[in-house]
Formats: sequence, structure tokens, C-alpha cells
Amino acid sequence: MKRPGAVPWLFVVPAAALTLLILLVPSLVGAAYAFTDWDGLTSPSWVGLANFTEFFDDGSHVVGQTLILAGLYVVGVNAAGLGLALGLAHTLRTRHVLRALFLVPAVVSPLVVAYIWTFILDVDGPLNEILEAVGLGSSAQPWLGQRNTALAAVAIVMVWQFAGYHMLIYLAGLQGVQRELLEAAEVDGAGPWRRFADITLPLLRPALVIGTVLSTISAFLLFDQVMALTGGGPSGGTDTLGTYVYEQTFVNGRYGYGSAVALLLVGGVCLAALVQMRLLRGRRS
Amino acid sequence: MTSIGLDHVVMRYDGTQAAVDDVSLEIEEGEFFVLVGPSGCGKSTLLRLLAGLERPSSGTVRMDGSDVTELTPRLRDVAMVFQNYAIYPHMTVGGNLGYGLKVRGVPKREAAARVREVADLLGLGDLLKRRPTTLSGGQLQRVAMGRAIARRPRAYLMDEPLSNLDAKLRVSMRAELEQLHRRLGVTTVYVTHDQVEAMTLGSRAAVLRAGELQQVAAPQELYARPANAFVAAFIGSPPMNFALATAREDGLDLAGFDLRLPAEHRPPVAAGERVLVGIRPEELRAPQAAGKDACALRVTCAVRQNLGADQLLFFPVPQLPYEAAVIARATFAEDRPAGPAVGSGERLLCARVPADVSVEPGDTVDLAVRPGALHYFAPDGGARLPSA
Ligand SMILES: Nc1ncnc2c1ncn2[C@@H]1O[C@H](COP(=O)(O)OP(=O)(O)OP(=O)(O)O)[C@@H](O)[C@H]1O
Ligand SMILES: [Mg+2]
Repeated sequence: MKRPGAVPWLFVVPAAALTLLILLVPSLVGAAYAFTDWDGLTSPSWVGLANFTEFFDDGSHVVGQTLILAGLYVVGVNAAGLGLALGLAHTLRTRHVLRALFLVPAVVSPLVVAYIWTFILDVDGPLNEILEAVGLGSSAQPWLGQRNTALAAVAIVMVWQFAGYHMLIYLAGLQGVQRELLEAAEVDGAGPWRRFADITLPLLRPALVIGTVLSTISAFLLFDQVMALTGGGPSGGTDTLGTYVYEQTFVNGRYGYGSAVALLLVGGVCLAALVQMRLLRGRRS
Repeated sequence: MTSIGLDHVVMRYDGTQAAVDDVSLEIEEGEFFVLVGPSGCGKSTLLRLLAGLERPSSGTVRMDGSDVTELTPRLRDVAMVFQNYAIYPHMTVGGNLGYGLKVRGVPKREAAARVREVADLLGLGDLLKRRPTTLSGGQLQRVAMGRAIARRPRAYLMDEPLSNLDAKLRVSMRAELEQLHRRLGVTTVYVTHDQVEAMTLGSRAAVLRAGELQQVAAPQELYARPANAFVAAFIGSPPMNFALATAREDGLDLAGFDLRLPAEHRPPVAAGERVLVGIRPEELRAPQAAGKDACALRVTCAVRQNLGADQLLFFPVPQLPYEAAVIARATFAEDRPAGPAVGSGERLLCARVPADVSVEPGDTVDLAVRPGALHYFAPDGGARLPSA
């Protein structure tokens, strides 16, 4: 192959310099606060790893909640997105309209979506009213007011909002699954499930990597929806790393501690993304 | 072994013009049956109907006498070679060859042995571990073929399986296919637009045109007694010459040539009427090679093409004003025009003579045609007219 010479550098250098200047440098400076007890007012003093040990002692429930939420969201949104994409890839005559429709929630502000759902899920909201109307009044409950249903509710709202976005990723991926390959498998004797598992799914691997990594990152960094739906409550029961960092830093004024947790969060996201890419990419052909 | 039948099958995609139009066919047990026709005539569609990948708009498909029209491809148990390969890109060559065996539950040891055998047969032995993206077009086509051959289905359906191989490989693969068919005796439906394959491979061939069946017969019969001008033009290379002639009491007036014919070879129309006459290039011979009752034609050679053993001589003959349109209607086949026309009022006919006849463009050549070698067709529609 021809050697590329200097031209690619011309494109890379400006972008790299900008990233370095406005993203990486401030981040690194901020990261330094993680090792101090800065409260935003008095001058910071060095505390070593104290912030980190404190987080490992006190913050582990937040990590657990974040992981549960991330797990529910990543599985839910990718399954829903893939399901929608498979359903709307070929057959339905109304597929173009439906595709656009499913995408709408993803382009609405998360805050607006969250307020709609706080209304729906309210104790006196439509969901409970419907349950009562059909005689299931006993299962009506304060969905956002108790820890276990609140976590699931946040995950469901997130899935509802972003399923359409993930549908787009999988629709693009399905373009690479030629109909003739499925026909060949059918003639070879494969039933619908076999065709999906042997042909469609392996060919969707690149899309699966993108979908999983993107949804994991957004689940780890989740903030607005939780803030708007539950504010982290009840009593911290839906706190995620995102809301925890915010509360500690800006509400409690513990800038040093908040920086430490944020640093761990960034590390965690990078690690998770790397592991997923490794696992899902498999052998490269 | 399986027989296949089609009864009045019509296939319309999205209510447009029929891609397969009222086709009825019987393919016998163990037969090697060829489907041939120009591009877009519905060959692939017919094969997909047999595989169960399409449901006919009307009509029925039978296998071994029972109606399979509603059966899915899986239940029909046929193997198909797709026109554009449809190789699974994420599996190795070996994985592709063995997929049908795996799915149908053939024991691992037996499957591996069969994959090996097929790979050796098709010259893919060294490629088993390779990924399809690293293969050439011809290699891919052999993998597609191997995937079908590895199975022991009720029938093989092959859609132009040799079209991408070089000439030499194609000849040897044709021989392999024939041997394989003799050995296994599996009913095979073979699609091609190559009339050499149609002539050499099958025991019978069907000629399709715009979704309609034109003739079903042994290859030699298609060549010797084409049912209409379309089949006559399609089978044979270079294609048959056509000219509009006028019948006379004692023979024909063919583009100014006066052909006297014995009674049994005269056209079956009244004197003075027009008839479409077809003459194969190989039947236009040097006078001494044509026999004693042959009709002589003295022509001027315009173009000469050397084929090695033979040469093609093209010579102009005068043409009636509406002749080109009549011939096009009767013989229309997109990729095989009835013969090049030069200027206005003339067309080129072609003769195939041995290469040792020395002719240069501009030379006057004496040719002759046996009266029995003249084919007659109706000028409207092109149906074959038996000679009187
Ligand atoms: N999926 C489809 N939707 C609509 N029309 C189709 C479809 N597939 C084929 N056709 C049309 O049906 C006709 C027959 O197509 P088919 O593929 O059977 O031709 P073919 O004889 O196999 O041609 P070729 O030699 O070029 O492969 C064509 O006019 C084609 O445009
Ligand atoms: Mg075709």
C-alpha cells in the first residue's frame, strides 16, 4: 500500500489540539482535586486517597444501583431496538411511518419525557387509574416512591425513550443482511429461529457492539432522567453515580470528593466499553 | 428420486406483468432438465417457485405427485445454487459447505467426510479454512455449488452455477456435473442463458421467453426442429439467418435468389405469399460440400471472422422495407439481435465455412444450401410451418 505521507496529519492535528486544550487539560486539572478536600471556598489541602476509601466504604450502594439500572437499560433498550428493527425491516407496509414514530421520543428532551412519565406514574396518575378501572386496583402503587419499582421505572422510561434510536442502529445493521442469505439458509433447512441465530445475529455483530457500548456509556453517565423522575429518591434509592456526583459536589459542596467519584466513573465507563468491544467484536475477518 | 410438475403456474410480482406466465411442465425422476432463455425471461423466478421461495399467484407445484405449492423450502428438501452465490460471509468455506448438513442433523463425522469429498471434487480443498471475503468470484461460485452438492436433497436447483468461471474451468466443471448426476441420479433443474450449456448438459431443455414456455424438447430437437423463430434464433451459434421470402410454384424467391426446391421441401404456403425463412450459418456451405440438389447462392463477402477451425463470412442481401420489423417481432430476444443490418435496405447474413476456404472481404463466393435445411416460419408470430 502507498504510504499516506503528511496529509492525514493536517486533518488530525487541529482537532487533536482543540480536544487537548478544552477537554483533556481541564479534566486532568480537575482530576487533581480528587486527592484534596476542596469545598469550593477554602483552599484545598492534600488528603491522598482518603476520598477514594470513603467512597468504597459509603458509596457502594450507588455503584450497585448504577449497575442494576445499566443492566436493565442496556438489555432492555437493545432488545427493544433490535425487535423494532426486525419488525420494521421489510414486511409491514406502514414501516416508514412507524419508524419515524418510534424515533420521536429520542429527539424529545429527556426532561420533557421524564415529566410526562412522572405524571403517568404518579400515585393518582393514569397508570394506577387504569389498573383500578380494570379491577387490578390492588397492584396500583406509588411507582416512583419505592426503591425497587422506582429503579425499574427509570429503566423503563429510558428504554421507552431510546428504543427508537437503537432501532436506527439495528436497521442500518440489517442492511448488511442480504435477503438471499436468509433464503439460502431456509433452503438449507434452517427454521426461523435458526436463521436468526446463525445468519442475522452474527451479521449484526458490528451493530450490536455499537448499540451495547453506546447504551452502556449513557447508562453509566445517566443523570437528567433520574433527576427529573425521582431526584435520586426515595432516600437515595435511585441514586446513580451521575446524580451522586452532582449531589456531593454541588449540593453538599464536596468538590474534592465529587471529583474522586467522577474520576472512578470515567475509569469505569472506559473499562466497560473496552471489555464489551473485545467480547463482542470477536475474531476480525 | 423425485419428479417435479408445474400446472398452469403464473407468477406476478406486485401485480405487474407476469414474470412466469402459465407454465406447465413435467420433469421426470432423475432427469437433468435445463431451463434456458434470455435475460429477464423468468428463469430464476421459475427456480424460486420450485424451491418454495416464492408462492405462485396461481397454479400448483407438485413433487412426486403431491401438491407442494404451500410447503416452505425447508419441507421441500431441495438444494439450490443461487445466481449471486449467497455465500454466508461470516462462515469459513468449510462452514458454508457443511451448513446444510449441520442444520439437517447429519452426524458430525459423516458431514466432515462429505465436505472433504465435495471440496476435493470442486478443487476447494485448500480453501476450507478461508473466509469468503478472500475468495475470487469463480471460487465463490464453486463454494455455492459445493454447498448444494454436499447435501443429498430430493432435487438440485442450479441458477447459472458456472457463469463466472473461466472457459477452461467451465468445460471441466460441466463434465464433473454430468458425472455427478450420473452417479447420484438426483433430479436436477439447471438454469442457464448459455445455449452451449443447454445443448450439452441436459436430457431435455425448456426455452422460456418473457415468462412463457416456447418449447420443451431434447436439445437436438430444439436445434433441428425449433417450434418457432424465437427458439430457432436462440439455439445455435452464430444465430440462424432469417429472411422474408416469397413462395413460388417451384420454390422460393429469397432476397433476390431464385431457389428451386423439390416438392417435399417447398414452403407450405400458396405461391405469391410471404414466408419467413431460416437458414443456419453452418448450412450455408461450399457447393461441393452441400450435395447435388443444393441451391446455389453467389454472394459478395463483406466481413470475415476467423474462428480457428471455421470462419464466419458475412454477406449483404437486399431486404424488404418491413423485413427487419417482421424478423424482430418473431425472434425478439434482447441479447441476440436477429442479425446486423447495414445501411438501409440491406442486411448481413452469415455463413460458417471451414477455415481452409480462402476468402477475403470483397471476394465473390459461391455458397449452397440443402433444400432440407430450410426452416419455414409464419411471418406473423413466427410459428414453425412444416414444409409442404
Ligand atoms: N423481486 C422482484 N420484484 C419485482 N420484479 C421482479 C422481481 N424479481 C424478478 N422480477 C422481474 O421478473 C422478471 C423475471 O426475472 P428473473 O430474475 O426470473 O429473470 P432471469 O431469467 O433469471 O434473468 P437473468 O438471466 O438476468 O438472471 C424480470 O422482468 C424481473 O424484472
Ligand atoms: Mg436469473
